[in-house]
Amino acid sequence: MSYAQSSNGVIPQFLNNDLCASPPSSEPEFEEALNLLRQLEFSLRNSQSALLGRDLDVIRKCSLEQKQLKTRLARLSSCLGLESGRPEASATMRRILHLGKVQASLLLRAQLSIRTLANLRAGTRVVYDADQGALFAADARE
Amino acid sequence: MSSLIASLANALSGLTAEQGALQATSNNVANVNTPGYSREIPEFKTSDPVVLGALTLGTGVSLESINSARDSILENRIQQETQSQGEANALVSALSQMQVNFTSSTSDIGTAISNFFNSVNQVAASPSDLSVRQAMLTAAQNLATAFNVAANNLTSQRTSLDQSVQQAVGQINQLSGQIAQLNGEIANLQNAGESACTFVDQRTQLIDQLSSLVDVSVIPTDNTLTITTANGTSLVAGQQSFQLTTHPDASGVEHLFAEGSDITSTIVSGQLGGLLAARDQQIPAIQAQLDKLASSLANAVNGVQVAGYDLNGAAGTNLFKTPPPNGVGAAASLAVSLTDPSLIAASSDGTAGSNGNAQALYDLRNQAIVQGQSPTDYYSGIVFNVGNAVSNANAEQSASNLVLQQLNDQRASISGVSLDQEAANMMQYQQAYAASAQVISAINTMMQDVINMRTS
Repeated sequence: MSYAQSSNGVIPQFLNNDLCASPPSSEPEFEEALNLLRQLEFSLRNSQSALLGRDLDVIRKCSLEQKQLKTRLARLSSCLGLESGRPEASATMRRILHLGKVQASLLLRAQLSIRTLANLRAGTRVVYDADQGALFAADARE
Repeated sequence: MSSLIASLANALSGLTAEQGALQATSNNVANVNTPGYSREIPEFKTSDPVVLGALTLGTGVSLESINSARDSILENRIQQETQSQGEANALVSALSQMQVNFTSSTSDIGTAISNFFNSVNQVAASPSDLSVRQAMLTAAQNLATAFNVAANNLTSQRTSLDQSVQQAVGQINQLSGQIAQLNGEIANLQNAGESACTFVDQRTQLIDQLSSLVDVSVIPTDNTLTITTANGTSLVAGQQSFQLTTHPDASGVEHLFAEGSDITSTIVSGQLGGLLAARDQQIPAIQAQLDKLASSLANAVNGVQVAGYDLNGAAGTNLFKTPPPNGVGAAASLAVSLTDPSLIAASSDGTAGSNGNAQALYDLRNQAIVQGQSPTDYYSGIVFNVGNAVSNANAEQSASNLVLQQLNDQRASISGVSLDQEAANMMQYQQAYAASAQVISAINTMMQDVINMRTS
């Protein structure tokens, strides 16, 4: 994910590009977009908890939900008014950005943790791959 | 008679074992609120039996050991995450301080650049007005001061981080020494077959503290352990600790040494890793960008200035003092060289009413004079880089806090004391103790009967 700078701080590039294509927005469009952003924030919070609890079903459900929300947000041709004093939208976007970055960090840690466990379970019977770890090497052999 | 004595010995072993187990339970209950304490678990073992002809007779029970409830993999993960947290904390703290220099204010560089070009525009509108020219010189001076203040603040911050590095190294050395000492005490106890749980708990806590300071690998060996940094530099080997030292380089920046080798660049995590990343990477990168902006802006303004004519019709001279050729230190040393407002080269043809050169100077505002960008765009890029770095560090810190909280909860569920569990254990040991005592009482009665039988 890339980011752009706004007067209100750093916001996700995809949100900025996709939603601010044709300003200014109408109020219903803005409300709809804001509602989607709130759903995205809620979904990111849920997936964060699921990630910490290693709840794969919820992680999968939330990831799908986030993908759909992103698509719906991109379809909206309105601008959320980031540059024209819509603080509720920019505040939500900043929270989403933070949650997205935290989620990326948590995913990296989960991957490291799974790799460590895989290496421990694999023992000495597999060909160890420094880049991929024993789990993937074991899969490849099978 | 000999089998009665053997039974007495069995019952006595039961009493002793249950007494030891009860002691572990009482210690657990006493330490229910002690941070870092790991629950003690008594391990009973059946004593070796005695074979008498066709009979195999038991010889009671012994309290084999009292072990701490701990999960080594979990503790390893906690140490890793503590390193990440230490690094994130140090980075957030350092970068947040750096960000203050780029917060929008009346005197920040972005505002000073805008004010300077606005004042140039005023000169273009009234090229002969000395008060307007004086205002432009003041704006140029404010611009130079804004660069100077930001650059000096960054340098001060690096110096402050240098001191933090030295403090962290001192703490690392102190912890390494304490861990080595505990290694000795643990080895002595374990070699004597005694429980070293309390010392192991203390050592685990010290290792956690060490992990928050520097990236370490903990390698268990027989009854002791070795601790190295991530690149293999030994900090502790058994009962010996190895001190890290700091020495300044030619520019006065403190470097880390272990056994005579410079290991500064190999420290990548923990508080020390965060401090070094901020001191040696993040701040210098921003300093270099500020220098680039200051030198490019000064050179561009000077270039236009010397191409024009001042109010007296003489060829223009540099508005800013010439920045260093390679740009290094340009922001800190940026200064205005003109003091006389009439020397501003607003004219393009030498006449007093001409504003062609002032207009050319104003046009620099939107020209790509700093690495293909206008000065304001380039400055916005710097602000974005700083904001993004702070945002990333904050996210990393949040993730670390979340994961560490979860791991500590897991450790508490494994190693922590449950009063309910201890109450159940206490009843169990108490009843077993009472039963053994009852056996002794019965044997005593039986032996008395035997003695009475002989005397009667």
